[in-house]
Amino acid sequence: MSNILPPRRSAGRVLALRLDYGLMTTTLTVAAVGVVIVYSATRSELLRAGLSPHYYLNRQAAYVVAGVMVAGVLAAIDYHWLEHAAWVLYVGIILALLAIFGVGRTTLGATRWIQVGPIQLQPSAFATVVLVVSVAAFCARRPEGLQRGDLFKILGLAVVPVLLVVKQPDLGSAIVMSVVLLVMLVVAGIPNRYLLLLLLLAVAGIFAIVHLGLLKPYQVNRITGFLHPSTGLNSINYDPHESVAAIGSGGVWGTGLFKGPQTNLAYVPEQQTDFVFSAVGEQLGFVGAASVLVLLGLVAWRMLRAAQGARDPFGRLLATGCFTLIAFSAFENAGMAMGIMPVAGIPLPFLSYGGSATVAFFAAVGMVLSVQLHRTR
Amino acid sequence: MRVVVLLSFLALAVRLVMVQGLSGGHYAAIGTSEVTTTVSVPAERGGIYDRNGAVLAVSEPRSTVVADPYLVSHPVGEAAALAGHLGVAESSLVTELSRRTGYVVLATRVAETTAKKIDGLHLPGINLLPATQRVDPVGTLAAPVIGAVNGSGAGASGIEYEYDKMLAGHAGKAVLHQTPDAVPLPGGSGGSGAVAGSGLELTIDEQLQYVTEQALGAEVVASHAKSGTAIVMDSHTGQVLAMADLVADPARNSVAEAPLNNAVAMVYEPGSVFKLVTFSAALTAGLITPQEPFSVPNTMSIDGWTFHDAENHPTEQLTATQILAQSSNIGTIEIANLLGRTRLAQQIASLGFGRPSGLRFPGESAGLVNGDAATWSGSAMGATPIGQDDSVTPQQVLDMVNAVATGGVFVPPSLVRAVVRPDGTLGAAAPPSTRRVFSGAVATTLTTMMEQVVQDGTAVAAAIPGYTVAGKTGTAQVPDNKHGGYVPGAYMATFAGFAPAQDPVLSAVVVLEQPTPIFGGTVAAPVFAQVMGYALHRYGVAPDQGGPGGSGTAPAPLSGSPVAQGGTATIAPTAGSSTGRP
Repeated sequence: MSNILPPRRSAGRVLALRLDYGLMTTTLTVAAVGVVIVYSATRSELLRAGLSPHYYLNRQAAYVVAGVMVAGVLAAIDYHWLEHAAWVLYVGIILALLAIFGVGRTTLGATRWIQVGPIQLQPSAFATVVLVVSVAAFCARRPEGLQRGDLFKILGLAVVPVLLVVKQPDLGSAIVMSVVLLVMLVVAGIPNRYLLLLLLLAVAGIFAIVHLGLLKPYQVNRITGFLHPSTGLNSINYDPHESVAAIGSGGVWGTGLFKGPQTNLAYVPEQQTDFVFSAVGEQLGFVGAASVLVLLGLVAWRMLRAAQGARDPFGRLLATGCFTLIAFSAFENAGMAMGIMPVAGIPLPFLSYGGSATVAFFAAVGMVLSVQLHRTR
Repeated sequence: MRVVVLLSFLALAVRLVMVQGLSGGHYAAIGTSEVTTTVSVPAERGGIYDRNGAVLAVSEPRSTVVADPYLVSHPVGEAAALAGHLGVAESSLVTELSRRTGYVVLATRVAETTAKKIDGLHLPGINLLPATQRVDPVGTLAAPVIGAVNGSGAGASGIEYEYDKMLAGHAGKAVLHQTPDAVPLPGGSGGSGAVAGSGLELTIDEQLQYVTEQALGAEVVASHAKSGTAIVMDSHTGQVLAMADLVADPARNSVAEAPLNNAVAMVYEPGSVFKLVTFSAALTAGLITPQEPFSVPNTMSIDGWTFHDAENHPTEQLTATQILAQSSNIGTIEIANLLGRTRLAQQIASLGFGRPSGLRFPGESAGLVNGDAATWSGSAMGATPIGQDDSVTPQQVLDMVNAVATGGVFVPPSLVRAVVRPDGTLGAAAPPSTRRVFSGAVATTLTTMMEQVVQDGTAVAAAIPGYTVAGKTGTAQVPDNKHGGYVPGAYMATFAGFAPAQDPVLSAVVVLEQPTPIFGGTVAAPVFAQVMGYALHRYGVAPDQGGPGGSGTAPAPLSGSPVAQGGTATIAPTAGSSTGRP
């Protein structure tokens, strides 16, 4: 009898088959679109200032290359190693966040960056990813679900980086970290009564923050402005108003790349970073903006699939955290650009200009790829 | 989890459809209104030319250099590059370019050659905005007539103001992109083009205007007058060939252009030149003949006021001609009494006094004339016939004298000969509507009498070698506005006349304010002779009397069409030949 079974596949080929090509291509596509959009959102103003129009283009392209490399490394190594490295990463990020208060650089009123050689790093961008790894590592050891003591430990674990980030101030990153934490706790199996308690605490906390004057005036304005969208179009609601106007101006087909007057004249502030979606909307219209949202949705969907297909709690929690990071960032950012979410400095994954954020988002994708690749146990 | 994710995605999708699909037009309108700005594109202002096409005022393109300091990264470097071109101190440019604002005007009215060089520097944040500047190549010549434009280029005085609508044209509109700081950017599209204004060809002759101002100015300085006014007119068309208004500038022992066009804006009591009104009316009524003898006493008392002649004399026998030639006040009052106040008032009105000249010049005065003889004061019949009650403008005096020159036809004056359309074609001004004010016979008689004024009367200084000249002097006191009566020692000196006397081509008036000596025949008549002598030669008017005349220089044509082709023959068929006219 001849052997009718197919020849056993080599380990490498198995890995190659498990690789999520859909996630990889959508991520790379949306990142490539991001590079072009960043270029379109910055070239006019650079030219008007007599500078090279490629400044932001070159840098964002380099960030994407760096991000792809980081993602590649993270995908290649078995994600279980991260479980062991979690504490190191956690301590490292806390030290980095603390270092900001000593040697940080200030831009636009916020101290978020530290200089490492020629590179400026934004630790808060990596803090969420590290928090995801740390919380996943902690919860993975309690596969039967979280008890009250565990909950307090996790909250204690999370509150340190969150508060450090708030202090910078970088409220956006803190919000993302909180949402990611909440979702991970749900997936990790937190009892419903604690979940309820957490939500109540969150609501109470928001009220306390607003009414106890812990927020800076501009942060209060953003909330007031969101609740009263037609007021202060020239002041507190200027950014979202301009953003919605730019997106709306794009209509169905858009003005065409490099042909958007509001983008070219920089009517929307921070249009290469936080409000990059307005540049997409104006220049590429509904077709382009919807495509970008669909691409980001595909990325999120593949990551969610990976979380559900994970073979162990650590992988599931890790992928869940990474999914939440990207999905929530995308939702909040696009929602803000279209005026249905309050203004917060949360970048649009793979599209907003910025090295640390781009690398961090790629790192999240890399870890999810690893979770899919290394499903052996 | 999936439900939350799907709902979130759905929310974004619905919002995207709302913003870009349903409200796309609304937001596009907002976007367009924010990003674009409609700027006014100034129309090229029409030029003002003299009767021979010489440029008197024209708009030249200039640039306004503005900066957006937010876009200037190297204020010091850009200031160094600009300083030389703009003629502005480098340090002050550095200050301007370092200001925290998006719009700074660095220089205005920058010449086009300089603007091109600045444009070639390609300095970030430096922009050139188009503008124009009104330029008078002839300097201040005829400035009170031409007028001026204000800072925004609109006519503010004189012809510039009077014809502003025509000169200005219609500004166009351009839709430009603007930065969020509201700085308009070049290279916009859309909008409607500007329609250039029409130009004006004046009746003024730049050369004669120059000679007139020189002669008048010299006399103002020599006689220490406060001001001087002179007008030269084409007798038969009423076209004003020169209109000079000068004021003394004692500090420089010189003269300057008057702030107002006194030729039509200044009212004064004309004095004896006004006696022509009395004489023309009396001749028309057949009350006197040139040789009519009158017994003229030294003084005459009317309603408690004593009138007297300029110089004391015993009662003497004078003919009407002598009364005019010697400018006897008492003799003229006697003639006026024959006439009566009603006929005198009618003649004053008929000769254009108390009414605007028809030039519609900004600030023009109609004069101060009481046309209702019934309300005249008791002494009016002493003062009015000799030009001491009514206030008139120099132009009105000239118009009256000119009616004698034309054989009794009143010709309204004009300053605009033709409209120069943007395409270069000409639209000739309508011919003046003339009216007869006295008979040709009266005019002939008056002319003969007025010739005596120049030959052996009060104005021998008005004589021009080779030409017969007719005219009349006036030396009148200046009313004292504060105390009533007259200002002691203050006189207005006038001479008005025309030449050649028997076939007039040109009429002119010269008025000096408070000169020393005070007499029109002494100070105004010489200016008349100088200006008129030049003008007669310039227009090739043949001498009608023995003596030198008709110099070798080629005469400038006074008659004919406006300079560019397209005019009509209705304008100024005057002096080409001085013979053959009735």
